[in-house]
Amino acid sequence: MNINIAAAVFETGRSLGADFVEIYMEETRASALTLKDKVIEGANANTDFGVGVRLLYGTEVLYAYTSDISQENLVELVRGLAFGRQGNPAKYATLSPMTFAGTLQDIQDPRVLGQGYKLDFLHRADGAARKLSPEIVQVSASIIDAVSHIEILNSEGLHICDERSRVRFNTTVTAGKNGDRVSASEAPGFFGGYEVLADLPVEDLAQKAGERAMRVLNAPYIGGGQMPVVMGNGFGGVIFHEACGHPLETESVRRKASPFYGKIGEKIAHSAVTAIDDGTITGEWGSINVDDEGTPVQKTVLIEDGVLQTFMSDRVGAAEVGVPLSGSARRESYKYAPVSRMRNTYIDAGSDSFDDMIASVDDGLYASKMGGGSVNPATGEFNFAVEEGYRIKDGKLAGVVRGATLIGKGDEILPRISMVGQDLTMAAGMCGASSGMVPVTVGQPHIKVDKILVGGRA
Amino acid sequence: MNLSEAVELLSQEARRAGAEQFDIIGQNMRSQGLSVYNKKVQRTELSQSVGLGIRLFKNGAPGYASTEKLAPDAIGQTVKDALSHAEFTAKLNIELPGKTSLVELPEPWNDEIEALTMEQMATAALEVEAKILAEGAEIENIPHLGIGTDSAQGIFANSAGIWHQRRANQWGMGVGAVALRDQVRKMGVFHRSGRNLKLLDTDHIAKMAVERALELLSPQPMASGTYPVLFSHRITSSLVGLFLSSFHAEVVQKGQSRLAEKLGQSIAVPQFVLRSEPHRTDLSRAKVMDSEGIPTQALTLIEDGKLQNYLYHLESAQRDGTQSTGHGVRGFGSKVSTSFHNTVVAPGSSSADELRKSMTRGLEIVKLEGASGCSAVSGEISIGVQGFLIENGQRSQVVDGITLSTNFFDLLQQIEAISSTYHDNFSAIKVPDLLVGGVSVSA
Repeated sequence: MNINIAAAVFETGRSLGADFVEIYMEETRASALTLKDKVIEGANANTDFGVGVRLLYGTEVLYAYTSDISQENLVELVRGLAFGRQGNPAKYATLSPMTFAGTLQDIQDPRVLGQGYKLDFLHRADGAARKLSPEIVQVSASIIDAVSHIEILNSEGLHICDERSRVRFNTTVTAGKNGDRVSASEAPGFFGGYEVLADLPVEDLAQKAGERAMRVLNAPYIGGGQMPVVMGNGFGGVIFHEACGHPLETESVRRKASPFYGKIGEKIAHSAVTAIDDGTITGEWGSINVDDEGTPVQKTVLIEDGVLQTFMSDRVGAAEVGVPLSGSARRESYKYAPVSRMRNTYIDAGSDSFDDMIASVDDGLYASKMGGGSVNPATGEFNFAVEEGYRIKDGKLAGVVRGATLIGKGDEILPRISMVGQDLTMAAGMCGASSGMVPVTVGQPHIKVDKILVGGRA
Repeated sequence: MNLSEAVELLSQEARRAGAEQFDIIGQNMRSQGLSVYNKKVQRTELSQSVGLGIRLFKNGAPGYASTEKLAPDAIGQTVKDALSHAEFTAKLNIELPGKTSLVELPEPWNDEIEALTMEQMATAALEVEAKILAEGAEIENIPHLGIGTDSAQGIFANSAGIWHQRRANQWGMGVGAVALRDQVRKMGVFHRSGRNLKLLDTDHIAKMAVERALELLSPQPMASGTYPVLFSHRITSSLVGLFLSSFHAEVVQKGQSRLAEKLGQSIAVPQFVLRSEPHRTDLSRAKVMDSEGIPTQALTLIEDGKLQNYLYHLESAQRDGTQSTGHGVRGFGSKVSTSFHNTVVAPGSSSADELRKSMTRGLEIVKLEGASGCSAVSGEISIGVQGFLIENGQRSQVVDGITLSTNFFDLLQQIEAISSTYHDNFSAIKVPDLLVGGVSVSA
């Protein structure tokens, strides 16, 4: 970013009385290659480019973005954004010399190696899944990557640059029989370059997805009702992400759209539950070098032994809710103002064994693989699909079932988590909220929820 | 460099690089909007963005690339990227269309929307907030209340001589109000949008948000079982919309649709008629030309209960040896895919109220909770819902915390009646109430 242009933007914001001005400049090059039914179905590359300018008046946010980064346009944009405002803010700080939060020095840069590097991985996945059975009717595999160059400058003198690279492999395998179709996916993602692909077991992932699709295809529908549920590790953490994680973001709390509003220090979960949001884990899909306001990333303990410790915060949320900055301000791109968002969120490992959990259930469900879900943070109401489940009868697994959905309220479910396993694993996902889609990781060991409504065919 | 100049430069670069054919999409978008909370404007947003994308063909194979940077070096790189991608993809025997006559439709544009100021929008939003708080003593909070306008200018150009410009704008307001009774919270959501600013009626928007926040309070338990279900016109568009990809020829060709090999066969009750209506200017996705330069046309998908057609774009049509139906869609940064333009299910003869009165005992569903238990591939529906138990034609109690389980393709065969009532949102899909027999409910 040209420092003189930044200075002009700051001066315009100050002349209009803004307490704080921030510039976020981004250039992201993203590419994707998709193999479907043995042919390349999609090959694409996009360059996203632009600047977002944020003005704060107290905690009121004014945000504008543009792809035209000329000084004339940016100054005009700020004037339009804050038209009619006035005030007498304190003098802005002088910009510090630019520092780097992260660089691409130690990675295999996707932009250099190109799309052709992906081909072998995609064909290997396709071949492995097709070997499984004639019931496999379609295999798709894709690898996406995105390399971003970010600059954040603000009126407090911050000038930080960050370079980020993410790579994600996805395989979706469809099994079919008698007109019925079931798809299953595996989609690990990484914060890094193409080096993450070297040891990726793409054949195993494709076969895992294919085997699950076939099991579900041949499974009966579950009969619904209230029952205990043992939830799978890894992507099972999506239920905590949706039902509890979003209401623990200051973006929900500051609007009182959270059942956890005003409950710091209170017991909100079973004492077996410790929950963490950690942006610092090396190579995890949801990790960051620095947040999108330039705050250093950290490991944030949200719930410890069932007691609420803090919320995930951004600058505005921290000020309104009265919690420290947690380095959680995130946005999809320059087209969004940053708000508090999750990074790598997980329920920490406990002491129970998976076998003990299953043995403790007379009549229930083992949700071995969760699908997606959503939550209304204001009411706590959530819903999740179960991609693959097993009935539990008399303390033993009793066959695969399909068509299950879990619904409930986040604050009611947390106290019902009565057993937490030792086998913590993580899984990549994409999370959508007011600052767009951001990469996140969810995780947990196996956990047991004593009672939850399972939707099925009565 | 403005958008037209950038499209022209991209065309020149593609020709210079030896592309046999190409089509280009350029978009220039502007928006402004704000949200209010607790009697104050909380957030104001203003945006302007551009995008330029190309699909070019080299040795018959397509390659895509796009950029948001309208500069010569970025445009040159975009052509290089697209050419390199054409080396990976399979050859397609398609010919991009040339100029042809198009249906004339009114421009989807209202100058009054462009004249709407931030101050006017703030006044309207604060009015809605005040009216909601004045109307409902049980309203605890209004965490979501936003208003904004969007405008877009688009250019479609191709190597066969088409240069088509279009612009569109609209306004929108959305409210989420939370009501509290007996420790149970419910959020009432109401959204209104369009090009007609007379519909920015703060009294009506506030009244509807309050009504929807209050109506589902005090839920009572109900028994699991099999019930007839009246899916309200408020949610049928969302429900049917989840499964529309089954009608896309490209999805059928990929083995991802249960409608494969069903042309001419009965897939629904006779009264269920489904059409794509691109020339309905009262709906939000009216267009005269698709994203590949093919003139749009109305298309019947289901009539007399039988599957009549699939939706085609150029590539899927070539695979099936037929013509595109003009249903190709593409944003500047994406690959061509298929979509209905406007989707309409034909109305029945009875109103929604009359259908409710015809029910002895059943459920009326007015709210869907997520869609992650629904699969367009299998047709499976396993979804949380909220609504009312209907007894003797009347709403007898509120129900929530229940799930429905069925299959969309079974549901089409189990429709007992279709209402004549549509939602009044400005949207691209219109589906009346559907009364469906024998749906499994878990409670």
